[in-house]
Amino acid sequence: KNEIKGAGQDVGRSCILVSIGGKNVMLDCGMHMGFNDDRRFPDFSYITQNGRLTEFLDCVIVSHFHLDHCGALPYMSEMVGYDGPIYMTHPTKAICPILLEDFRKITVDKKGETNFFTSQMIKDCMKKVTAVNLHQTVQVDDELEIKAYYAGHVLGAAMFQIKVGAESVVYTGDYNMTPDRHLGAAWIDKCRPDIVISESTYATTIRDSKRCRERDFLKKVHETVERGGKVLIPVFALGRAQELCILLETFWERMNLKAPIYFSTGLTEKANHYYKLFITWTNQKIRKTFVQRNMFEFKHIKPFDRSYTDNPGPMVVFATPGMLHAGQSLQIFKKWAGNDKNMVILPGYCVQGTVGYKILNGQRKLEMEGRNTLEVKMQVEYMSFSAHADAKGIMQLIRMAEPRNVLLVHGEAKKMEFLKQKIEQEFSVNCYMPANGETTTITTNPNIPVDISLSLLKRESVPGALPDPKKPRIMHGTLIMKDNSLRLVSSEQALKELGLVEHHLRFTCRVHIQDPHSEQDTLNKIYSHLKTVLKDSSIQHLPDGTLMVESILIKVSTASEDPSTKILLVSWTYQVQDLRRILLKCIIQSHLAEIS
Amino acid sequence: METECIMLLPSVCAVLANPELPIPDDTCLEKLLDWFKVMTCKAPVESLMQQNTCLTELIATVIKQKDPEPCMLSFIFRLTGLLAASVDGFSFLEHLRLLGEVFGNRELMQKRTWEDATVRCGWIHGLLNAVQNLKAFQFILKNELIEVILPLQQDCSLFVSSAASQLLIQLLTLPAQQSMNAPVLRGDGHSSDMKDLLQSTSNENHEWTDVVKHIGMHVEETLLSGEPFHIEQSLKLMTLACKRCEPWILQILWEKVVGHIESLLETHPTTLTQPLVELLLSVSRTPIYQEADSTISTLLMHFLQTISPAQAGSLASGILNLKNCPQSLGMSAISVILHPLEFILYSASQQPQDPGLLETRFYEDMTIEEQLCRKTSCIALLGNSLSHIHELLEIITQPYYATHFRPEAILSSVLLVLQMCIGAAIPTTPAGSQICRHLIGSVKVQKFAVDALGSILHLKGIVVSDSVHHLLLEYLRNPDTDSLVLKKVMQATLKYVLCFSDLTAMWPIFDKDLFPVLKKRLCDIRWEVRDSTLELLTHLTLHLQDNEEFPPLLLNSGILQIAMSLLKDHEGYVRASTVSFLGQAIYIMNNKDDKLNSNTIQFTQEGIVSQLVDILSQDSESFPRRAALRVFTGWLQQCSRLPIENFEESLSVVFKVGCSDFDWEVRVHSLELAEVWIDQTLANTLVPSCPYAVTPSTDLKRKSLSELMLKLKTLQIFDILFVGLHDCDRPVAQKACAVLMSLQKIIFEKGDFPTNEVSTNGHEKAGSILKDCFLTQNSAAQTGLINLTGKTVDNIAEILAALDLKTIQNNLGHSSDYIQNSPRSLLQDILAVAETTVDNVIDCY
Repeated sequence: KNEIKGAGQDVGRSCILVSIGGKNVMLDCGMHMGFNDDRRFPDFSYITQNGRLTEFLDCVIVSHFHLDHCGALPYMSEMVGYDGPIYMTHPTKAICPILLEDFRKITVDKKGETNFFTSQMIKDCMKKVTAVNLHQTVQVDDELEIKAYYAGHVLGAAMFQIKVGAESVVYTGDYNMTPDRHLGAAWIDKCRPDIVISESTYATTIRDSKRCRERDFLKKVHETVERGGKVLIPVFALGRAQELCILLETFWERMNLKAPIYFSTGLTEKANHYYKLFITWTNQKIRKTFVQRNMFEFKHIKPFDRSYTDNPGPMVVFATPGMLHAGQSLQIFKKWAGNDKNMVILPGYCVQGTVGYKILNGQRKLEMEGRNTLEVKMQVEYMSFSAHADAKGIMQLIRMAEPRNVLLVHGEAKKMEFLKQKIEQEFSVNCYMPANGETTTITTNPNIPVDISLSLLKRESVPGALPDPKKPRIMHGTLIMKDNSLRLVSSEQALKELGLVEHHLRFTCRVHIQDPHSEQDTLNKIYSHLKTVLKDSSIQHLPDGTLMVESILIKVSTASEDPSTKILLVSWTYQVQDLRRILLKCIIQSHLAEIS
Repeated sequence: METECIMLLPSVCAVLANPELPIPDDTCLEKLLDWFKVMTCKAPVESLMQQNTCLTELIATVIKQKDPEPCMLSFIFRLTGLLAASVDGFSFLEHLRLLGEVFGNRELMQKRTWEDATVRCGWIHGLLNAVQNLKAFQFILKNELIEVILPLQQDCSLFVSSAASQLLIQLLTLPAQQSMNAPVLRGDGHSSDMKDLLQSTSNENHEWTDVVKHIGMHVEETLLSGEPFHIEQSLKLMTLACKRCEPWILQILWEKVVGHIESLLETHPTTLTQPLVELLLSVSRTPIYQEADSTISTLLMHFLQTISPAQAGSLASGILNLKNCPQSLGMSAISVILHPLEFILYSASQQPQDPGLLETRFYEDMTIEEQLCRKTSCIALLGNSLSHIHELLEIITQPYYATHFRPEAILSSVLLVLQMCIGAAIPTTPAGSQICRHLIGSVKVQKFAVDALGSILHLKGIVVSDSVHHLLLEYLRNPDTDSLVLKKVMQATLKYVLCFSDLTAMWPIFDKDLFPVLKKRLCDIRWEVRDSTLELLTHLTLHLQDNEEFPPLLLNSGILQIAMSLLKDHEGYVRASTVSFLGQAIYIMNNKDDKLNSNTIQFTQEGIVSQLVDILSQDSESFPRRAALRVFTGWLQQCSRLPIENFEESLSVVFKVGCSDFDWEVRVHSLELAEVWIDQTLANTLVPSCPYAVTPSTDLKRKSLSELMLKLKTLQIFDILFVGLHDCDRPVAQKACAVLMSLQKIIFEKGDFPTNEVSTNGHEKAGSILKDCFLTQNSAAQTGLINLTGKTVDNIAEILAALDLKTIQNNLGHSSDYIQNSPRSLLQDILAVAETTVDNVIDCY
């Protein structure tokens, strides 16, 4: 069962609740950057009214460090009060608090909000996080296990397989199926989960080739610098910024350019630190060349000092935050906006209300603090460098994992619909695309492994014949469920193990036949007939006037209302069920024959 | 409404009504509704619509469109609802025949668009907005919309079903809110004139009662449906009704469903346990639950017996929090929570006659044994019991229960659980051994148990035995202890230490046990553990600083030496905690008359200053830098033994470095430090004027103030304040402004500094001086400060006098968010999206 709390058919805050095999797992705990009130966090009251999330959830898994996937985590753990396990990869655990801290500072700065998580809360939240390695199976408890796979997208991003018994779910988070300049492509093994929950940001986007976009970016930067202009690239501290830095660094080197490139003070060191620390998470090329030269120790990119803003001549500056809504990037923008030689390149999404949003949508006269109007004469460019799988990539992942069902999230409904049909056609699996607040339930038919005792196996198997998976056979035994395991044993062994005494259950039935003779004669006739038909069975008269065929007892009595009707009382145990059927058939047939 | 907004609104409505134009993202539409909501509260809605006819035109246009965008349709529903919330607005829309078209349009509900949850959600929210007056109530009845709402209450979208439930509750409560003749509830929970109401000839009352009955029937039917999801939604509806409905309405509903609830208690699937618990507890908090009426108590008791012990914790805890909870029910609830712990206690008891936790047991021992002997249920059951100990302690300390329960016995059982978790307990029964096997290494149980221990130690007058600190030390020493458990153990250790008013017996433990193990933990491979240890040490230092024995023990423990090395830890959080700890520890050691460590220079305030300055100027993370500044501020605030002058040289560097930091919080902390320094210096220099003094007091003040100004100039505090005033981060500018304002007050108002010397010309001159200072900033790029060198104190006083700080403060009060969140900005953004020709792919990151 999947309950979508956020980022169902939108690109807002990711928060998905999966109930699998009686376990409840929350996948991502993101925030919506577009709101400044309660709406920015997922509404946990849909999960439980009493706020005791720890009782309800078995664990929380965070796929990567972007705020739309982890931004609500301190709120959930420190303010709502979730105290259970939280899992993420090592790089995510290291980088997550930096972005949360940046976000907290901006929120406090801009709104002066006091009812917001503090630095201490971010730290306390991070102390609750268990970091996991790629391909390491982590046992959350005796029944629930998770495993991380490489997802590309950003440093430390992972897809997670969640498994309870034979049931499993794969959650992709955001992923990228093509390697870029510093990260590799996502990969997962053929784990055949019951469902893959895949992001679908670029569900049908036909993206122009990456090379083209890169060329375009470099051309625009180069042209601006050549004509003596300044280029501002607002970015978030970590993530795509590093990809662009590598791009520019290589270009500057190749073209032997002299214009300075700067990156917000402090962040270069920090980024460097993490990329060095988690070099194994980068792509093969970077890993290989790391010994000779660390790609993140840039020759041309220097730390920025705010006094450089007014320096004459061309320069390129990477400054935070990425939406031009506060801090250094906004300050630089204000200074450079009036000059048409300059350029601002926005490489990512901007929420409504931010300066980034406004200029991207063509506004050229902006009202700033103090009601001053800022005229934007500089060139404004938007170039998306975010690393999501496109439709082809999503299909590729489904081919890799071979799921039985697919669920699309984190995309636009219309685009998802197209992809849904494509997936259903090509893979003949059900594809779901629930909206926020909707629940999707998938029925699974799990194979439940059962151990069988050797003695029973020997007893039940045909001597000399090897087991053939195409010809299943029915085994008879007693199924014991004990200590989380299932075993099929002989009934004798089951009785012994469980310390139980055997009870015999007998079934009886009455058969009416027309026979005017005495009871004894009828019985004798039956005896003679059975003796001829059931030659291999033991048939005997008992002293109390009963006939016994193996363990089946037959007694004859006369119906009180009609002496010519005889009533046969037949009693048997379930073990001789087949014999009883044959026996009754014989008696009835012989009697009918006689009558006829 | 602002004039500019009035001018923009028609264009915005035209954009929204045009299906050819791109729709702004959902947040724009949401924010637009937020704004309309504010507007409808401020002005009469009818005139709002009359003045802005574009609004109703927008509604009429979109609702007639063949295939509107779901998000736009949803927006229109909600907008219409908002406008219809007041009677005048409702009448106006009704007059325009818009309400029927928007909410009563059955054709729309047959269309494919209706399959989109956003549309259904918008429709429900629209009605919910509208149902604020009786006219809207009548409208719903007249158009038989209840028939549409009821199925939506069972909608597959949680958002739709939840909103539909709220709407139904609104329908149930609205007439009462609108001062209809609602029947009054008698003391027994029954309506005194319910019959009157039901037989009333008043149309409204009839209709209302019909609605109540209709909804009651719907709940009844769904409870009988056997569909867990539908049942759950109806249980949630009933829970909501308990919270919001008039008692007599609730009574009608409850009487309809109570029989079905009873059967559900017997046969419910586990997924319904929680909603049933919530419903029973909610109904127990309403007036229809009376002590005399035992039905609900019986249900509660029955449900306690029905659900598995591992699920019964929240019900038991809820019962204990009920007002007028019957004592027998309360005792049963306590027993439910404590029985697993009682069983644990017995499983390791050496003497079976030992008094346990409970006098009477709610469950059979065998039931609990069975649960505890299975690993999964054992962990769930104990986790559940332990997680409710905190609430339980509040109850059992009340007079009635206090005679039956001893917190010390609960403490023993919790300690035993903790011992079992690390294999330190010796069980005396086979079941005990099995439980031990399940518990060894269970982090989940350990976390709950340590939290419970912390709550018990917090109890006033609790008698704690030595076994507590033995166990805490055991956990602190155990290399396998999980980092989060360790953190909780450290918090419990602090609570344990604070239990003692006389710590004489504790010092040897500190010396021989606690400090040695904390030293080891300071070297733990996990940063979380090192940090938690430093946090514990900081708290201990803060709480025990007045005990004479503590500082020497700490000094001789070797902890400080390790802490010094942690100033270079690779984890920023650890470095920051180290700075805080060392700052506090060194302060308490230096602030004694008999200076403890005169031979160990590195542990003096003077000794560590250079290290703190290094951190401030070199650390790549902002937490340690912030912590360093807080240490300086703390020292100044805590009236250090050292005269303030001793720090002046270092402080000038601290101010300079701190104020040019790229982290605005560091800059704010630097300004706070400057503020404290000014306060302290003023306190030292401004001696109260003596009536017998030869020199007039004004002259003295003036002299002192001149000295202060000179010092401020020397330490470059004016520089950082003036730069701070123009900082790109608002809190820094606000702080600088606040400090400058207080300086203005001191210097010109209290201090009789010659403000009148600053003429109009002087103002201009001062303004130009400041401007010059900023212009020279480029040359001072390396320092990041403005250049006040060459300026006299009088020049600076002129600048200070010339600054219109009140206006600056006002401007700063309007944050950048104010601009971004303004309705005008929103309207402009929507228009801009419509005009943009380039399709920017939305990809978030």
